[in-house]
Amino acid sequence: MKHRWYYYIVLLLAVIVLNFFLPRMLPGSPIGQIMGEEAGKLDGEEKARILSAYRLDLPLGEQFLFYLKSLVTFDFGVSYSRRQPVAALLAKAIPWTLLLAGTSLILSTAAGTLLGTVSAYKRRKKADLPIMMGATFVSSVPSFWIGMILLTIFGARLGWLPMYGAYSMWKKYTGWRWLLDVAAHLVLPVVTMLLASLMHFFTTARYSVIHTMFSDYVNMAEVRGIPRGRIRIHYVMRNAMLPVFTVFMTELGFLLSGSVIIETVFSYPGIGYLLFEAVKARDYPLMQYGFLASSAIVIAASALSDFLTARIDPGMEGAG
Amino acid sequence: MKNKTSFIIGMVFIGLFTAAAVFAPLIAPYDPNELVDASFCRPSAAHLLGTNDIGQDIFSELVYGTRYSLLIGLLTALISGGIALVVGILAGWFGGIADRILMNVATFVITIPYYPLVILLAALTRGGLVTTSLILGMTSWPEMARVVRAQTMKIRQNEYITSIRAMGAGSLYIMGRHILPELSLFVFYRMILRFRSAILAESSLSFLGLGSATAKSWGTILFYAQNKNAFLTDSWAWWVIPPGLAILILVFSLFLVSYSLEEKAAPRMSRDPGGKAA
Amino acid sequence: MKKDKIVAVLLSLALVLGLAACGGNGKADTSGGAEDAAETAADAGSAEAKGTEPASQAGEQGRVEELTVAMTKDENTLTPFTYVTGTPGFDVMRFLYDSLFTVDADNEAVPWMVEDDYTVNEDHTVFTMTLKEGQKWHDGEPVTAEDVKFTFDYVKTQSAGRWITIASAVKDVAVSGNEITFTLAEPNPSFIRDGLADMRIIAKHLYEGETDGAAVENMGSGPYRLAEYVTGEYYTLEAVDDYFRGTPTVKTIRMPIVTDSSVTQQMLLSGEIAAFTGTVTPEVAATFEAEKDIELIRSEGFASTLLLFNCERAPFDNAKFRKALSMAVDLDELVEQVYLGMAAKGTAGHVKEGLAEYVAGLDYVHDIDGANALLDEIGYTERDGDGMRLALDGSEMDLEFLVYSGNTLRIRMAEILAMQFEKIGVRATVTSLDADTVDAMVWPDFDVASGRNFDLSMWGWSAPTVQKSGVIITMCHSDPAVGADNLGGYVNPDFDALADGYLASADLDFRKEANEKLQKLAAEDTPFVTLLFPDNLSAVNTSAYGGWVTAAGTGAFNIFSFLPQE
Repeated sequence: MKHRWYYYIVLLLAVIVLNFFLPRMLPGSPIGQIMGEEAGKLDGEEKARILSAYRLDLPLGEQFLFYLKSLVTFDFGVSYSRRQPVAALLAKAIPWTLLLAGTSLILSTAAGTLLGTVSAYKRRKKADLPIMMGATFVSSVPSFWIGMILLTIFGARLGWLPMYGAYSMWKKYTGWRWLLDVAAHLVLPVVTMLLASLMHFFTTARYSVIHTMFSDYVNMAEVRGIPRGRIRIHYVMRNAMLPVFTVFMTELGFLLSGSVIIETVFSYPGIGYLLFEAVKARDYPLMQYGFLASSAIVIAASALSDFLTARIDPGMEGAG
Repeated sequence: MKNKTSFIIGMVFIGLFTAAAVFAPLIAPYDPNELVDASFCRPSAAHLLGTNDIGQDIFSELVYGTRYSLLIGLLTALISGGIALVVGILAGWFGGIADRILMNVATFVITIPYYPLVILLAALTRGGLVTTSLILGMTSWPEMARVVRAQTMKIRQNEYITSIRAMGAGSLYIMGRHILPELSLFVFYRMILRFRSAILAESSLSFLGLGSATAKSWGTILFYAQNKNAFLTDSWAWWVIPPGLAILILVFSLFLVSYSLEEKAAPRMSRDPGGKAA
Repeated sequence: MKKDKIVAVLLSLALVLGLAACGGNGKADTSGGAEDAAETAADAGSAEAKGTEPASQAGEQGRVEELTVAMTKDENTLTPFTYVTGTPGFDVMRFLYDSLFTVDADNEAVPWMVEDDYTVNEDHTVFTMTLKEGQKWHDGEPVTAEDVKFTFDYVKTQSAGRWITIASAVKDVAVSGNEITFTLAEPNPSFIRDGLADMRIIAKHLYEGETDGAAVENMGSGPYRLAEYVTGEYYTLEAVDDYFRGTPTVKTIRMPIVTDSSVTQQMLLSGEIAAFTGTVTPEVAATFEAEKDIELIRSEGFASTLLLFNCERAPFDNAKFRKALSMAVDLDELVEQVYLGMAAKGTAGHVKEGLAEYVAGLDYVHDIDGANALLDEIGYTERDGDGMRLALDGSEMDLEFLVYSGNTLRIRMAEILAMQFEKIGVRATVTSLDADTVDAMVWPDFDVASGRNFDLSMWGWSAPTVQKSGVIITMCHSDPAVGADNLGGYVNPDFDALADGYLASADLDFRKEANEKLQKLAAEDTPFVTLLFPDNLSAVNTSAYGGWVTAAGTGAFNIFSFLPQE
């Protein structure tokens, strides 16, 4: 089976262009970031010298060519606002975010699916409404509020869990201690993200299970007298999980970009916050390569999703 | 019976909120913009929920906020749901080139960096209700569209669809008459979520310093409560809980209504009165 | 059985919310948190951090091993070429890099790296001083006069406007042994404060030959050295024991980067940190005051908050219109409602009371009737259905009022101002946009010669800018080269002529007189409204460390809090 790779190439090219021009379309410029508040007091000559040092005086076309070239040579240059090599900044921040967002995505998929499935099977039974109520409850305040509540209780008041960072910065743990330490720092932000995104998976799973429960072929299986437990697992769940899987794959695309608020509240050294600050500072190099990395993950997730969907359910490909 | 009850309860609350939105000037004791007292007053007879960080009446803010929040939620849900339905059904039904192009557009939309887009659009349009809804709606449809597409493909393979196709039913007819109703439950679920997240997204944007924090909405109230450290004082009890509760009740009511619609949405469900798999 | 699980989930949810209910009470006991903080923050040998030592002694005799102070923003490698903001960037960089003079806790410029017997010639163009003995770079090399000379040359090849501006005014730096002589191109009586007390001195042997100063590692000659920096995460400052002005009182300062202000304040309450680099917001002052271990330190603030008019555009091209708006402004309401009284009102002369160039008697007058009369007088008599004044051509007047969307204090002030303008029938709509977007409209390319595109805008100038002498000229002169901060595009030939006289003269008395005239002129013409100067409010944990010093213009986390008192 062909997996339309050329579509992804086109998509990738579009994204490469987008991530160069979008940052530069934003109002404002990185001048303030580079020269500081006294920028206004510099004379034209000095300004021109500084702009040329950052290649900001070149025509946009030339800058674009330079950007294209850098994608091949992997020379990403230095961030305007952070004054450090872009590659190093990204390489440091991306793993933390992958860990944070990845963990919470997996957990919220599992928890949401479980609750959604239970809720679907218990439809109109006593247990159904409370589950829904609970799921609605935790997601009716903004995630920064959930984060602050958790941080206040478990960090500040009870002191059970750390309040900031991805690990205990001055402890210099190694091995298992380090892993445990990292895990402890992961708990509050992950739970916050989990609570905030639970509803997605809950509703998708619930809908999907209900929908499948009443489909023709589950019906048929029942008519054939296949035991209920077997039907639930083999017939209903297998089919019902497809939409959940689709949502999962889409969310996977947001891995690098979706955790700005959580990273801010928990001072987590991830890429979400890094890129967000880059946007505010009009830090073109950091923005363009950072968002490109993020976009590349979206495209990869989408390609993987197509590929897997076709494997799981060949019927889907039949559409093509 | 049960269906009816949940439908009625849901609708009553939705009705109440709508009434609050429409008759806000009659219900609210003060103009929500006016500085009616000192800042950070505790609740009292004069101010049911105290005053905010500049001495505006929080209860009045809450009542007026219903307007803005309902509108922004509704508008966003409609934009997001509308695009998702159209794109998803077309892609799923026609497949082939149309599917590939539409799905690639969907993926492309996901790749557009969100925050730069927000800044750009806000600068071009000067913020406001419609802009915020547009931003939230335009960026959130792809996920829903993908599921709609996948479900459409599944439904398309159903025997009854194949048979009515064989009988000569047109694509548009089948999409409108059979696929849309089957998907409506899912889309309704999703639109409720959109509705909720639009109300919250507004406050999240403000949290990040990108929102138009001048509109009187529930999201803005929640944002200011956070920004002014309601957590370090007692004020969270009257500043955070009420708008949080309002969002909760509204979203919950919408879910109650959607539950009662489950029967209609999955038509063959009604064959089984008790919820059979349980 | 599944039901049980669900019940359990709900129960735990209820528990979480119930706890939130008690937890939010603000004044709950912090002992648990404090112990935990010490546990997290400290290694074995740090009993002091737990506050076992009496607070007062910690600052005077006993040396505190370590202190955790939250850094409110990542400021890169904290060198003169990489730090970003004034607070916390410049403030913390002062721990690492020294300057020839320094602004002391009383806000006076005093000799620091140099001996007290410096000389200045009559027309304030030649400054001669001797470098103090015993100063070392953090790598052990001695600090020399050559380093100073090098610094003034090197910064001109870099991109930091702050240093370029200072160095460009210096015509020549002559060095002879430890003696340094600065010769200026123009007379400048405030060169010591604005230039020498600001410029951080860098090591020649480190920077020589490096084209990109930002890439050079952090190494200064200040009381602390940067022992560790992990980008986005934390800084560790280590005391320089043989620092020439005494051994710093805290050995190690650990600075985790925590950007959310609610979180930092929460951490201070729980004892996790001893202080943070930012300011406390007015509404939590009472919460901190009620804590036993926490002391609120309030010092004078110099950063200004302004209301800008676009003087090039109608209706603001008419000075009387601007004057009328300024009369509609009720500063007391702003100070009380937004800052809960913790800010000083601005004056029409712009310079804050207490500063050298302050001119008394230029206070704004809040006068609604007067404002209305003034608007009527200049022809804004027609009103629309809502009673709002129409523009002179009869069209609807709705002024756009820009404000940074990330700054809630300013958004709130803008909202209140808009309501105050409504009282005189002037409609203004507050639009909050991201900071750079607003900058691009108010101050395109950071060059006032590039024009402007706004009606009204909230604005602020940092403390160093506000305290420079002749600040009124920088903000009001119509020549972009002189009035570099004249964002409103205000033009008044009389003002320009007076200002040119001021700048050409080195006679302090003449300058004083000219300055008074300039400020009076500006007060009359109202090119902008200086609304207020927020106080610097910081909160510190006194049981973790007792040596906190109040210094004008900055928070409690300043170098004077960590140097032995003389």
